[in-house]
Amino acid sequence: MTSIRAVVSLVCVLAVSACGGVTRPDAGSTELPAPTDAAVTERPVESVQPVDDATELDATTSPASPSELEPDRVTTTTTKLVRRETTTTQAETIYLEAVQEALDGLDDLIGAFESQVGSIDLDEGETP
Amino acid sequence: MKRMTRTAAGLVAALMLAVALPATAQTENARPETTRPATTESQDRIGDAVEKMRERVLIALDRRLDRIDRLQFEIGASETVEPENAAHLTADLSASHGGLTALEARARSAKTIEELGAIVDDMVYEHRIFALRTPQTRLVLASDFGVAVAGRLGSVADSVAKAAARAAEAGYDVGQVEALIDGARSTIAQGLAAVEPVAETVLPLEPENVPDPARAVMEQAHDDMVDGRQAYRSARDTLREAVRLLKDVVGADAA
Repeated sequence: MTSIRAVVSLVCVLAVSACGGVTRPDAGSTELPAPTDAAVTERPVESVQPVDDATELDATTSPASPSELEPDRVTTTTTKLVRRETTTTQAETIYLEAVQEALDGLDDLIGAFESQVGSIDLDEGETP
Repeated sequence: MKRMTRTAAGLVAALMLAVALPATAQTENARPETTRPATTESQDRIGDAVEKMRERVLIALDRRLDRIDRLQFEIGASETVEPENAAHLTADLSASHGGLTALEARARSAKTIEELGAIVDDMVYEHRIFALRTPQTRLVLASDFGVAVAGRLGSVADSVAKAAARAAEAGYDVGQVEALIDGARSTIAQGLAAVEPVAETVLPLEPENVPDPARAVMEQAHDDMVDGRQAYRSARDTLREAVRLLKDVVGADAA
């Protein structure tokens, strides 16, 4: 009888493992990689689209109620929040660099304009 | 009356040209009523005076022709001048070039101080290369260039606004940045409103409009260009401040 219960328990454990379900919050959280910087920077910045991230985030964080969240999904959402903020900053950095270059280019243009205005002499006169 | 004034002024200009001439020659020239027969010596002196004045007149003509060439070059080199404005300026300058070249031929064959004085009169009052054509051309070129500068400033303002919008979508508070961009756009518009009408205002001016009303019109136009220049500087500085603030907001400097 004891051996039968042991076999049944073993079958249950195997079944749960096969389905990937984890019911212990502490066990679930340790299975996911921590949201380290290394993990975030593995994605090339050029391929990151902040808007897409935001969409993905919205889809992930739209369960009917907080009680429906499984522990591992909560952890996943946290990871994506970190990733979204970091990659957005990187993307904005790149974009702002381009804006800064355009802004610097204005210096030459406005300098040329100032020079042109400065060359206008109304007092040259017609003295032969 | 105007003709008399011009003739008198032309004579003054001719006398200015002859300022370096010997005193005796000037005396001979200033007393046409003298009935004393001219000696060979005095004829030589008059001949010398004519030659010296001719030399000065030719130099003065040459300076104007050189200036026209320079202005034509500036028009051709401009990448922003409106084609119709360039055509207008070029036509005026070409006409003056032709007129001055004809005066040059006349000056070479002139035999008297009076003839040369009339040439100086035409050179100055019919063409106004320094008092009108030069500032007129440069005001038009600067006006059209100023319109292009406003366009570039607006384009950079759009880029900064786009960056701010992206940051706003990502959840950052960019209210102050947007206010700065709005301020820059308003300043750009002020600058454009100052510089854009200048070309249209000064283009119709002709030598007979000098000094009035040409002088006042060009002074106002110049003031407008200076105002536009100041507005563009201010707009650029405001955009620079907006970008700096946006970097602070998104923490781009630390990333």
